[in-house]
Amino acid sequence: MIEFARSMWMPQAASTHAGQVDGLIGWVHLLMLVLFVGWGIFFFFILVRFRKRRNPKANYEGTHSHLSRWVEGAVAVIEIALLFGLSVPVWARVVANPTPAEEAMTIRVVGQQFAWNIHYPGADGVFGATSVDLVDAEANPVGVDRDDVMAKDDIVTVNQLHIPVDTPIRIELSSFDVVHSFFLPEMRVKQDAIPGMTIPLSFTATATGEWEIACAQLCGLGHYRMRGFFTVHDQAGFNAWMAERVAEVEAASQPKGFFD
Amino acid sequence: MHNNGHANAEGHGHDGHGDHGHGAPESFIRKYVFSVDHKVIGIQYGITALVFLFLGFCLILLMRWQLAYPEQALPVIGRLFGVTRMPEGVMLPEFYNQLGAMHGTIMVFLGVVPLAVGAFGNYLVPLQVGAPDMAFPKLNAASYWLYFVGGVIMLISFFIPGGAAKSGWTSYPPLAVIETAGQTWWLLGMVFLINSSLLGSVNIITTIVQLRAPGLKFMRLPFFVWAQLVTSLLLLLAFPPLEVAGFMQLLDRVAGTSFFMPSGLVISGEAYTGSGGGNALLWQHLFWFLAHPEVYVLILPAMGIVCEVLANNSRKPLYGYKALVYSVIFLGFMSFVVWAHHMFLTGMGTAISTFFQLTTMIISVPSIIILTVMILSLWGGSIRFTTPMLFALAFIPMFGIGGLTGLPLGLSVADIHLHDTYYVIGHFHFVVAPGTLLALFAGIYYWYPKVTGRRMNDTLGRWHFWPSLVCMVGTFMPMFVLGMAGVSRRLYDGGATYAHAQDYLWINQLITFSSWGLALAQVFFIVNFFVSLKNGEKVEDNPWQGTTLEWATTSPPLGHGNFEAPVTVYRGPYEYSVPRAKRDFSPQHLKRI
Amino acid sequence: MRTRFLRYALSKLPFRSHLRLLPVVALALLLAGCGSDDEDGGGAAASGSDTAASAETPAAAVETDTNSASISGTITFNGDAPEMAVLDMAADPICDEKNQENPRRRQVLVLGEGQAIANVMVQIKGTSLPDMDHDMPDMVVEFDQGGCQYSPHVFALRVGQTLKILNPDGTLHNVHAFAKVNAEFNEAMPQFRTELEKVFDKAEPTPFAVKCDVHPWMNAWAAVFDHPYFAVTGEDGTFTISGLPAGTYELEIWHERLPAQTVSVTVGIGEKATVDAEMEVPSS
Repeated sequence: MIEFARSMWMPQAASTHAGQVDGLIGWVHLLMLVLFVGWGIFFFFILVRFRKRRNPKANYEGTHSHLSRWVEGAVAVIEIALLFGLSVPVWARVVANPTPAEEAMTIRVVGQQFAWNIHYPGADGVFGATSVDLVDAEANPVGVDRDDVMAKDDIVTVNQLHIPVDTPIRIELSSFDVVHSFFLPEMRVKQDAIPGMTIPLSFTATATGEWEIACAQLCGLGHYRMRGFFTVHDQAGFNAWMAERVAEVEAASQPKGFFD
Repeated sequence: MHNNGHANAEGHGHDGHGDHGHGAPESFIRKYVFSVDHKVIGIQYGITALVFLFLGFCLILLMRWQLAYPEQALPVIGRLFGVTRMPEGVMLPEFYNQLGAMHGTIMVFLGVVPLAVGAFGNYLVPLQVGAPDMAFPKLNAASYWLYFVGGVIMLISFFIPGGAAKSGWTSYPPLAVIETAGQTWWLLGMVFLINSSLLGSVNIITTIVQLRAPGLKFMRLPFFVWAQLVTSLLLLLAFPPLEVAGFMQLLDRVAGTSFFMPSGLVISGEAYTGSGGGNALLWQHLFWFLAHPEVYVLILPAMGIVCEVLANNSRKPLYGYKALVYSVIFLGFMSFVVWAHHMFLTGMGTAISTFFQLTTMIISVPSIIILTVMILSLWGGSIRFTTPMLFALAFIPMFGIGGLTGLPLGLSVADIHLHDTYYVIGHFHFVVAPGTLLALFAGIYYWYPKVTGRRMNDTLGRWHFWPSLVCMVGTFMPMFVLGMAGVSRRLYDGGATYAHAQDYLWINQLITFSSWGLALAQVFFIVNFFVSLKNGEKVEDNPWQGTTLEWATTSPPLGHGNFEAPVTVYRGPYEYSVPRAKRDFSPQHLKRI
Repeated sequence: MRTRFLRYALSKLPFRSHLRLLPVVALALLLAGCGSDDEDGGGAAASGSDTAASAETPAAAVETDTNSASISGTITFNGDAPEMAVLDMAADPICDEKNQENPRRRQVLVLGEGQAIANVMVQIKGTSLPDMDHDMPDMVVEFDQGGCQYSPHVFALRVGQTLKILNPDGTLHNVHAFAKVNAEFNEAMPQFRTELEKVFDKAEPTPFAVKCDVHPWMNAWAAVFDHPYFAVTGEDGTFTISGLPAGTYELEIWHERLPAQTVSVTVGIGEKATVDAEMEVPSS
């Protein structure tokens, strides 16, 4: 079923839970296909069989068949089976209960018109304090309080999300201004970013690659260009990337100046 | 001068058909402009709604150019839109967003609902229940004029500084709150449209409950009337929350309140100056609490029309009339408890998401029953492929596709990938465009003789039908491919920015070509519609040999009052091909079969 | 004609006060009503560009002695100059690529030789000016977004003067001007839209921010004057305001981050006053 779904134009899948999403999509489409083709053939047969020329006088009684009730019942049963067999468990496991912070690499993502701010906690694994009062689009996009000890090693990028492969990633998603939607097509991850809320999500990439973050919710005139870049490295590559960022932060790690 | 209350004997004499309103100009205005006759109001609704449907279609044609040829100048007409919309003929994202928001708004609130409920409901419900007029004729006129004013406000908003609303027809805050003044106009327009719908639905409900002809028991009502009754109940119960939400958003915009604006917003790097403390999700709940029932408001009258046409053209009763009625009531009820399936990705826990998935799966059952009833009703019939029948038949598989593609969207895990992609667009357009619109066309062809006394041209009708069907499928089917590929909706460049969309950009062109074909096909309809007014074949009072009460009077019906004498009903609505009857139809109002 | 009437009618509606955005056409219409003040009378043009030194006394001012005084000076920075951080433009590869060779730096504090500060806006406060008419320069003020950084970083122009905004980048910029007195505007410039013209219809001497939301690091400051007595320093830190009638003026020296200063200057007919100022980081 997974293959069936992916044969239907879906993008590459590269996360541990992608198969479950694609599997459900495959099963549902198979059900839809069977129903549509079955009904379609029956419908077409009736149109031909009972056209006026073939059947000049209508039958007041029509059909007394109860077959349709069985079909309707069967459809309902299959739907409930898909719901409780596939959708609910996967939702409970993957979406509603994301990997806890201590078992995953946690990254904060804050949407804004029209960019994705990516905030890594740095080597200490603890996010420094942030405040919207400190937000400066140019110098401090997420408002990290550089006076906070925990913030010293925090790394902030714009539109550049880099993660290591085969590592559980936990993303804590929020938004500064309007509703955005954080979409990683290849990870089968999509989550609305809603101002005033922080919504966690998690996934584990199974392949390395360079992909994109798409915004899936209309957020203004730049919505179509609210594209981020998403790179899954092997562990070594990720370490190297991270080391570069750390070096940048350290190079700039004079005490927060008046002009910062 | 009678212009209030129910039509009476005096009204018949005064408003007799064929009176061209010569004499004082007031009487012309009373009769044709500020009329309180449900038939005139129905026609007013119909014409206005068709004009808005055409406008809404033009908006999407403009957008389709931009999607097929992003950031390229629209030849010839592009420059007419001015530098604030299409400088050098190339569309700006702001204008694209205006077109998108207004296409949805116009099609739903100014096109389909007024046509399905305002026009068909107004014209036919009193006739089909054997009433001389709606229960509240003046309220009826007020309803139309509120709608008209709401529509004018929406149109004017295109010309104000900053242009029309551009936050989608869903108007999610905070975006809708911080966007330009067009959104304020949108909210004001919506207040008029909502009040129009509320007045109209009260009227239809009262008419159906109180003004049924003697003998017209509920279980003898034509299914169309049932559909209108449930539709009106939905409108009556679902619109007030949106009206309240609309006022709240209006206050957020103009009075500095923060119903939908959380604390700590930073907009363009500047702290938001409102008080904060609100909740952006609250709007989504209030909006979808209306907007999901609204989907059934769009589809139920269409189902009603299709059932009328199917029974008439298969010359036999509907299979499972009771199942239909119970299904439509159940559907109406369930439509109030599925709204959050539009919001699976707003941070929903397992319990809530399971609840809304379950209700969504449950609501698919009555839909399937209705479709099954429609198909099985044809079994044993003697099917005539008239123009209205072609449209009604096409509704079945088209609505079928629309309904079936709702399943993956209703399962939250599948929705992770498909949410906010073109799959959603394809899904609901199959429901409302090849679904509802084809049914509404069926209704227009079917009742045109009732309204005008003339038949629309059959050949032109077929030329209208086949290209429309093919082009609609060609327009909306490829959207499922785009959606599976993960191309988001509402993108100004149709996804050209994104790597994962690159292989599918040609589909945008395919869709655009199909939509042009669809536009061309409508020429046959427009020509047919106007030419038939003068030159259509004249028909007798009951040209389709129908059984329901609207055929119990002349075509077009007598003036204000509808029936020459009160009618009495003796049987169910679809007594076609009754054994031992002389003819293959036994009208409801005739004692003898 | 009908749309023009419509716009006029709409401008009279109460909602107008809540409009965040006025289109160019409406601005132009409004200007037609209130721009007549600028048409005749003496006065001098001032440069809206970032080189105040280029401000020249136009011929019109020389004919009469009354408007011949000038104020000039140099603004310097007193303190340790921090190095401006390099801008990370990885968020948009198009920007990144354009600046591979010479990475752009932040422009909060731009210093020239000898601690001279650029991007300081010097203006004569309107309240200290006598009532008089001013010539309208026909020069267009250019505001360039090339390389995903605004240039000039601080600029000023006259009420009614055309601002030409350029986008040579082949990427989307949106020009979001946070005007408080004039209508705030936010317009997209997709890659096809290489030029956009804007006109402001009201004086707004307190500088307001201009930002691009697609590229959060992009910001600039702008002010709008109903007189020609303003200048913005270049990297040499100098400014000249000329064509002044004799009088005592309040001279305001503004920098986007450093505390503003106000100096009272008296000039006689034809006098050239010099005002040098030092700006510094506040102690607290």
